[in-house]
Amino acid sequence: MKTTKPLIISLVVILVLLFLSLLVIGRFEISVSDITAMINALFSGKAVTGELVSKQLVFCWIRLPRCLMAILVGMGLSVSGAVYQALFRNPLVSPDILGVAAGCTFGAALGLVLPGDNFSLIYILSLIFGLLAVAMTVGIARLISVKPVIVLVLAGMVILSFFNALLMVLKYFSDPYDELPSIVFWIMGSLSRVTWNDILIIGPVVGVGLIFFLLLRFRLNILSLGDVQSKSLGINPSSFRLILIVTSSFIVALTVATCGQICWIGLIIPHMARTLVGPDHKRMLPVTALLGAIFLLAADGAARSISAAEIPVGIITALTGAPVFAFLLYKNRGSGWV
Amino acid sequence: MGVILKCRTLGFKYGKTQILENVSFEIESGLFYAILGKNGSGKTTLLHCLNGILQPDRGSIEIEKQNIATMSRKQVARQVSLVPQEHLEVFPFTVLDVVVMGRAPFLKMTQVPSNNDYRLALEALKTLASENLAQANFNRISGGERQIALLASALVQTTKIMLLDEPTNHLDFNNQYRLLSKIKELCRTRGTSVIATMHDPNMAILYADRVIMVKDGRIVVKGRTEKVMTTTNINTLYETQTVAISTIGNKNFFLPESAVAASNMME
Amino acid sequence: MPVFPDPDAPLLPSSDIVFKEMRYLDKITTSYLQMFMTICGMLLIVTFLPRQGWSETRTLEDMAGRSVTLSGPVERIVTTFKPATLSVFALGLQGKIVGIDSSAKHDRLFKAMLPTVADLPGVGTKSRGINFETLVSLSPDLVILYAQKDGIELAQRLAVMKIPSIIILPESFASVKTSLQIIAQATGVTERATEVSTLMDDILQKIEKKTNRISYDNRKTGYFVSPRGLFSTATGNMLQDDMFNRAGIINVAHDLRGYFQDISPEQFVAWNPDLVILSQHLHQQIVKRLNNPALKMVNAVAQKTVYRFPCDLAPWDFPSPLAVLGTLWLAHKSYPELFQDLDIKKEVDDFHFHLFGKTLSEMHGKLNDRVYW
Repeated sequence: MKTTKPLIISLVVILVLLFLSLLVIGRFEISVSDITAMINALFSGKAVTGELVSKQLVFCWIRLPRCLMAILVGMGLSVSGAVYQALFRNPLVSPDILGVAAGCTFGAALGLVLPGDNFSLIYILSLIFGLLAVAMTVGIARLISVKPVIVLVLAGMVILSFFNALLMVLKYFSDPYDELPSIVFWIMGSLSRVTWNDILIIGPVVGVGLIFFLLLRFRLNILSLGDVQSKSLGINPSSFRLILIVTSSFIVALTVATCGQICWIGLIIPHMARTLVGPDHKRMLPVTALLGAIFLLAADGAARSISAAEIPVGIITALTGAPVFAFLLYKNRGSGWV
Repeated sequence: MGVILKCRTLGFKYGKTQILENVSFEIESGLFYAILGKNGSGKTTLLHCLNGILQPDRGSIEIEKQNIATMSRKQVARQVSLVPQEHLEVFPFTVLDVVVMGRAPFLKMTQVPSNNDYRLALEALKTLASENLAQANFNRISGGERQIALLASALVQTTKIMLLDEPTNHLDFNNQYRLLSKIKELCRTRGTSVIATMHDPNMAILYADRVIMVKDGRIVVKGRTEKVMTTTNINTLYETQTVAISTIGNKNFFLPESAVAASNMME
Repeated sequence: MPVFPDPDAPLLPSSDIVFKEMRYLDKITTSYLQMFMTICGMLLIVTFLPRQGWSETRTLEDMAGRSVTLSGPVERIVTTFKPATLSVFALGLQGKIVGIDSSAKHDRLFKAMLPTVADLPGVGTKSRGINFETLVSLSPDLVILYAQKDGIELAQRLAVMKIPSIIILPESFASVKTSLQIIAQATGVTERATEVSTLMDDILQKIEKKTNRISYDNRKTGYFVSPRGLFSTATGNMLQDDMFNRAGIINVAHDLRGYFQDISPEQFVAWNPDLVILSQHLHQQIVKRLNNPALKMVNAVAQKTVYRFPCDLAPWDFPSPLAVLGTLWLAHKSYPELFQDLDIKKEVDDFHFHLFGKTLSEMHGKLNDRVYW
């Protein structure tokens, strides 16, 4: 308990420093003096001129929203992962397994194929089908409900295959020119399409969700003891589970609808947090959120700056995440949580 | 010392199987009740009905004249605690973290245990002479130590009615008796009603004030230990032939006849 | 008139008789000569006449390095992907198609030239798989396959069934021409293939004659938008890069390698292309992304020099003979002042006529090169 506060403070500091430095890193040259000039102009009420105009445009409309989104998505995905792991009492669970991404991809493809010019239709359908995928997975798991977590993983695989197949059918009948956005975007994720509109939607949702989870941090501890214990301690686990799954799935579906599926964050960040401060959600949730933000911010910074070609951020999270996860598994092999 | 819990004609069905039928008894405060029966006789189910985990389809349970079906889970949890038989693996919480979870019924939805709650948790461990376990990794300690941790958690939750499901299962020879002595002490000092399912009739004879014998989901006999624990009753309950082999003070202790014969004790 | 000289005539004939005889001999020689030359000429003509389905065994090497032997005429052709179908149409062999790639059945270009194309059996597509059974059931004399996506494996299986197949890989101007040549060799229409090659080269020459004069510093920069998305562009290896180059435009993504590559929006702004050319098949929804305020100052967006590759019948930015028209259109759009003396519409119509037998207007094709966002 005593070691948490300094850790949280240092994580916040790291996050802020990383954020600030990534504001000046990118394919488009924007230096610190440029940013100061922009801020000065903002305060003095004058408009920027010359070269600064395009720099300001790139900064305000591409770089800044992208960095902010990386923080939001990093926090949202990692905390949702932590909540899933508590609910299903299994550290190998993450929102990815419930087939959210497959549902979102299909929804988006459907939106593109349907006639009409409504761009938000794509977004809405993506969200709906992402949530539908979760609902179907959980529904199937409940129907079978022999060994809950294993059944959940299996049901997730079923739904994933189902939606992928539907997507293939859709492409077969309506995509003769291979126009539908590349599957790579959905499977590997990318923050390259982020706009302020997305932030206006995801920001409040992630914010409210995080606060909600944080408020229930003690209950999460109890839920991870199992249904029998939860009930005898005065908690109704089913209704808690339902509300927590809905909230975290909503966050995840929104994230996937905007940025595609970014793997590994929901799985390894909670583990890293637990390794650092233990499994008590009171300590572990804030650390999870901060670590998730830092990780995705760094990964996206690399994805968009290393080369002229944009690397899907999922590749970076997978390449760094997988070995880190293996290391954590090894390091904690005796503690009895895997 | 009055009646604290009333179980009236309780019936519980799981699917098509009737697990419990027509179970009625009364629990007085400050007494140690042992529920005896074979495996699968419905003992655990009965316990789970008593604290509201399972909903009976017939009959009712009243705690201090109030039907628990009308009480919220939280209210029930403040009166009844449970130490389960199985300890599923969880995240590597410290023992203290697990114990303090017993304070949940007294906390609001978004509240976190206060320093006082942690103090109470530590004291509960002290009562069981196990404060050294406080910072241990729950997943790494022995089954018996986990049992103690969960017992401490139950203590912190409430000392009105405690339900113990096979409390001595994972404990070694000495600690079995130590634990039950401690529990008996709680009954005397704090007026706790303890309802413990047990697999060893001799333990019941040693510690229980009252015994309830359950067979095939029905109560065969219930009452004071000395009256209930007779060869006939034990034989009927376990469907075996037993023989009294020892008498200490005014208590008889039993072993199955076949076991005695096999070890050639009575030659 | 005596045929032979009079035996009683003096040995030294008089010049009269000599001349007469010479004239006579002339006549005979001439007539024999004429006969001989006619026969030779006929033989020559017959030898060099473009033969359709000449039943002579021929061996050729396809673009996967396979040696393919065909004997007998080719009367039944199956194509398995659109560029192959287009090549077959360009060679005038569409009447011999008995099986077609499914995506081509409703293609407007093919329908304009062969209305019955929709009734042809579809054998699948290269991206989603070819139905082997359907293919074989059509008893083709020749199957045209793509080099990637298990084309080679398919060719081997067809060989087992004694069905000859050729693998082509049209990706650049050169390989488009080679593909046409190979199909032509297999089907005996090599002259036609040469014709098409010449047509293509003519157009390219017309373009490069003018664009070669533009110095590097004066060249405009261009950015190609692939059908996959606004920030997916063509790398230096791709046909579109070559088209840009010939049209006198520098592809900003020239240094990238590979197939279509994703780039970050920042990179797009940093490149600041003078021209943005969208693939014909880019979805309109994606075009709307140009409204992002960050892109406001990009030259192409600000000047509204954003266009779509024509045309609505067939894309001019994909590997096919039509790519030369794409290049022409591109050069014309980028440097209109250089191409004032060229009637683009006429060039386009003529090319279509020579290639397909109908002009673009006759096929009701439109350029469809305007972009709205």
